[in-house]
Amino acid sequence: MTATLPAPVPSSDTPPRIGPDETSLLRRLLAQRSATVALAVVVLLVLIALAAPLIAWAAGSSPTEFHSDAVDPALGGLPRGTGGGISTQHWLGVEPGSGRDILARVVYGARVSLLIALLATAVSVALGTALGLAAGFFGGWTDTVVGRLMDLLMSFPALIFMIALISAAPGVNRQLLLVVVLGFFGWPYVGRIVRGQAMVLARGEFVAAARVLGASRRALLVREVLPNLSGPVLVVATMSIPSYVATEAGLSFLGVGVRPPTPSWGQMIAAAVPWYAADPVYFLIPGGFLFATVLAFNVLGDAVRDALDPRSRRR
Amino acid sequence: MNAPLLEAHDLVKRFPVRHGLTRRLAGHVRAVDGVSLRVDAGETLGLVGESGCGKSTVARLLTRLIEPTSGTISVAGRELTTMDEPLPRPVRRDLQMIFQDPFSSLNPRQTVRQILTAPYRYQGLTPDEPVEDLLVRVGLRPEHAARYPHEFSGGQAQRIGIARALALRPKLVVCDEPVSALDVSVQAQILNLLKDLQQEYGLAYVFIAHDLGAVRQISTRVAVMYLGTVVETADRDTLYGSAAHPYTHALLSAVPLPDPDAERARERIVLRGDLPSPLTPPSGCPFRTRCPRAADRCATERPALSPIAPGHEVACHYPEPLTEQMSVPLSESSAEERTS
Repeated sequence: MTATLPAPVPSSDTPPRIGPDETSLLRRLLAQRSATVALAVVVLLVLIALAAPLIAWAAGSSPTEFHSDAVDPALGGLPRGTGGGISTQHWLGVEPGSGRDILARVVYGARVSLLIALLATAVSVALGTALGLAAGFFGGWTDTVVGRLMDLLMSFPALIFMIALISAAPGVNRQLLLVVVLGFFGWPYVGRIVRGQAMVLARGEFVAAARVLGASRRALLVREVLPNLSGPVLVVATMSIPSYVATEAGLSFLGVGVRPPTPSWGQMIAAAVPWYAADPVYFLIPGGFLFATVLAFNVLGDAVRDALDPRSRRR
Repeated sequence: MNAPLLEAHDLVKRFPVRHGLTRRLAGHVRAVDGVSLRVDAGETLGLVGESGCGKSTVARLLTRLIEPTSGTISVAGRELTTMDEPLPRPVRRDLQMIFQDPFSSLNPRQTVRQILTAPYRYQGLTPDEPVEDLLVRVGLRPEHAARYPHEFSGGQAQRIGIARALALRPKLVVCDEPVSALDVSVQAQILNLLKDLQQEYGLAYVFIAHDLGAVRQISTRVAVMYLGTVVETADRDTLYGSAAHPYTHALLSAVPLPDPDAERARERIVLRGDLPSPLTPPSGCPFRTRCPRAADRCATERPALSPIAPGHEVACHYPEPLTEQMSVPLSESSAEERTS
């Protein structure tokens, strides 16, 4: 039989409805002042990262170009002028010694930092959701194996292992390796949350209802359980971005992260350490960017969690 | 006589109980212990009993949400228990279910339209009835299709659950306490809706409840469960008028009466003790630990469900039909019987 739909009923008394979550989530976020500021900072950082070549072009410099005229060889390479060499040519000053433009390096550093953090988050969310969902939904042996693997990875001295692994892998694209390693050690934190949620959902009556209707296992997972995980996954993803930004900076600081000449905030901070007394601006600028990024993402993550808090939501 | 629509024979469900680190098997909970049921086309079988007696387990066994330990279930002549999960689609179409909690049985992330087209999608069918028509049939408005479950009241949400169960035009709907989560005024509306739909579609129901009033309103026949077994089954008027099992007497005596004079005169049978643990059920008759009529024989010999009148079966060694109206549930003669 073909479905003959009646003419759509004009709903004069009911306004068009929107989904319960995403649209109103943004509205709820903007209702909190701290979240609005954090969101603005995050958006600004993303724009800076995307527009890095444009900004460098506008400022008339590149992240790798040496400016020996901007530093004073008589003072051991200290930038000429005040505030670390801030001038009309170099808006945020230059690097001591080489004279590379700090603004260009910082905006390209934002690119590297955010790209690695976002990709690592994508890897850990994908792995954590898939494995956590399988563990929570199927239970039994799947749950035992995945659960033990998560325990193992979470109790592992991940930082030491990462340093050892990355420094022992020469000739590999460092940025790609960072994404893989960060994502691999990060997925259990997503997986643990997804597993718990999936466990509760799998025993829920709407899953039983779908089974009575004849839904396949795949349909149960994809259509019934997975959409209900988007809230907790979004929260854990937002919270994990700043920790990946910080970890990447830390590894780069230790010399096992992003390799020069690609600029990175951690690298710049490490390079600034010998100069901090003579040229504190060189230290403050990448440090300030790193601090603002981590803080903004953390505040945003908290706000997302508050906005999605099931207790504040009418069931 | 026609073959019954649903026939369950000697259903048993035992859940293993494990203890400690080694998950040592400590025993089995006998949630359902030899239940046989029969439902004919177009009738309603009420299934009553107190919490923990295995009513909901029976519902989940009938719809194959859980596997029986033993026993057989056949629907419209098709043997279900030998089929592997997932059940063949035609079987699923015949047999649907309505759940207790209207909200947790609806996916909060799906619109009503998605919820009501899911039956066809999961069955690989094209909808033969627009979602709007289904909504109207259960007393909702067509524009409700675009909304999410949390925008509805409990009664409305249960109507959506009913519409979903009816979408595939089943022959039998298992209703697992469909009204116990709702307000009393809404309960009556939902019961009336279920009755109307039964007439319209020729449905058969297995109606599970602990509320004897609701069961009386909707059932053609009633089965009373105690500790995983059926202790009495009869047609509705026989059960409410002349029940023979002492447990049924106790249940009926607990129903408050609308007439205040009758209510004051009402004699209540208050059962002593708690429901025994289904982990270690009593020997012989499961009800003997709380039964006012228990005798030595009840501790050794388990009474089988056997007919005492046409269509009236009781699992008791000393069945005693009620002779008077429910307002005085126990007659003098049965009181004497107890003391003798």
